[in-house]
Amino acid sequence: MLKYILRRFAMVIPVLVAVTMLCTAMLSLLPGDAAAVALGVNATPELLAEKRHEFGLDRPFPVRYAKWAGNAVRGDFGTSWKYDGVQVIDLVKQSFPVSVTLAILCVLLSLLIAIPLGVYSAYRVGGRLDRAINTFAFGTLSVPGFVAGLAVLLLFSALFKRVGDDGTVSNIFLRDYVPFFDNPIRCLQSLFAPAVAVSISQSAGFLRIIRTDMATTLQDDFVLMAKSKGMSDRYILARHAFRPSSFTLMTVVGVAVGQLLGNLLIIEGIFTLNGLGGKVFQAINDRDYPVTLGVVCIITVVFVLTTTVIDVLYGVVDPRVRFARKLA
Amino acid sequence: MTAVAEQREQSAAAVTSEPVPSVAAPLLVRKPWGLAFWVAVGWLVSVVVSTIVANLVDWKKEVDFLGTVDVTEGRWSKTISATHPFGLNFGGNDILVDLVRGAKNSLVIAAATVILGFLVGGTLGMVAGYFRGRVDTILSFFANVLLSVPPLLFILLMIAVLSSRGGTGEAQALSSSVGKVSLALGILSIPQIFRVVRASTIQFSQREFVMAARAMGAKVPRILWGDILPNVAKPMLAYGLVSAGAVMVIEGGLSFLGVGVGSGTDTTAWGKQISAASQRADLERAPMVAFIPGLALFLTVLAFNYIGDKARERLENKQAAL
Repeated sequence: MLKYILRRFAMVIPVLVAVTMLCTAMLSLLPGDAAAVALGVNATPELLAEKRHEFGLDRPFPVRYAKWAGNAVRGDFGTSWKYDGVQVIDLVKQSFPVSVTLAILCVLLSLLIAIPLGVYSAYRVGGRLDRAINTFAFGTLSVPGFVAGLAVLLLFSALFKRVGDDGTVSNIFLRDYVPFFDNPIRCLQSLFAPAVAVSISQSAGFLRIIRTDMATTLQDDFVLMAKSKGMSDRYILARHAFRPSSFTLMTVVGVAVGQLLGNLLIIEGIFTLNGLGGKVFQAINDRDYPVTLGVVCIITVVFVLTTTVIDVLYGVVDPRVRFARKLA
Repeated sequence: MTAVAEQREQSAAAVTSEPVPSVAAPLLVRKPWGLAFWVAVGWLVSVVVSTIVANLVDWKKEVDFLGTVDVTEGRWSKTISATHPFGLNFGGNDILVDLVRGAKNSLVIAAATVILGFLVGGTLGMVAGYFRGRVDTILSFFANVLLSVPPLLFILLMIAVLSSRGGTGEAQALSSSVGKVSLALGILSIPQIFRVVRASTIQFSQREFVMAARAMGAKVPRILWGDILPNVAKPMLAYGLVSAGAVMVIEGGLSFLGVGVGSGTDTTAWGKQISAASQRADLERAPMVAFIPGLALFLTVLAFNYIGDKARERLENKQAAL
């Protein structure tokens, strides 16, 4: 088992190397000269050359990559080119918690909607409620995220608007972001609206997966066995059938957390949250290589690690997988 | 109804010992496509036809500016008239005209992306799935790498690279064209299509008819083209339709961010029309200006997904009947 885990984690490294190399190569293709951006209007040929040297733009690609990678491994992603002397890691520290908290909240909220509905759907496959749930899920699956975002923004701003005595308008859900550990309730309030927007289609995806897997499990002999022992349907669903039906969902949830980090860009923009995606978007526009590279790299690390951890967890949750791995 | 539901019904029939229908009979009877399917097809056809027609016509700009005229609530509804059935937007353009014209780029990009993805990803997927071994390992590794990059950010990066071609010195804002967006989205769709086609090819290359062809001395290109492709391609058709819907959503998101097709005040993309009306104040004042194109995008994506889903159901039935 340990050997399997180690081997699985070792596979992460070549992927990370390839991803960062790919991004470095792409960034070096950008002719928009970062030195010119950093200097702005007071650029002279001498200053430009000096700045290029400072940024390492005069060195060949492999040298630049090796240097970057060497520092990155030690947690040093360099300094921003656009904002003089600001550490990339500090920029990330600002926005990483926003995106991660939001991504986790989105997934939790989606699961909270998807699991009960999906399990019920599977329990009564073909029934009226099942068909209604599925039709609805099929529809919400096609809602573009940013349209959902605008709809939720509009809805929340209309429903939860409070006009104070002094005429100031406030809204308990559309407020500035507060870090989770400063004030959990305020944090959840500030992230609730975007999480709802994302969950509209995310939960539909989860629901369809859990429904299919659960319906298949319910056909298994052990369910019949449990039923014939006189166990209640509710007990069978919760204790016997749910766990073996949750594996696909587990993978998808893991992938979702990783992908949301970058994909939340648009939703974060709509709800004026200062997240990771927005940082990269700005950085690409500014030709700020270290920031772009650093943030993309960190998101990729999180993504690859979550999927790997979930892969490993398969064995913990599913005895069949554990056994098969032992044989392998 | 899904395959699971059918299975369940069959087993229920077996338990209650009702007259069991013969196994082959229900599979050979084709379920009708259903009304909703034809509505979805009708919607797509009308979107395509109307956008082609609309882009041939030269519309003159309307001068009634919603944004600058006395801004009171419900102002948008006052711009509705017989000549402007959906009213005017903040740029003073007719919403219906913009809507119809705006479909073009999304549809062209969706089609181009899916075609590019299938040509490259599909070919590589078949090669990897048929030969396995080292080719497969290497190609799968690259697919995995591309799948690990945050997709939206990677697209932005690609558009930045593509759009700065030829530019020197000054960093320009991200600008793009139909070609660039299609290329960026196409490249990102390659690894996903690769994986699906590869899995399907592996399955089919172990089938008897492929072995028979090989035993008869058929060359590899012939086997891939004549025996495997027809089998792999059919389910891929359904996948392609669903992908087209997904591409439209991403393309809409890019235009929403301002890096999609169309520059400056030109709002010939649905995403752009939505974003132009998405400031919170504007949204509260005239929500429909944003939600009409939003609804059009939703319905088009829904149509693609529904048709794709129906097509998949039917193709699965056919496979089961074999």
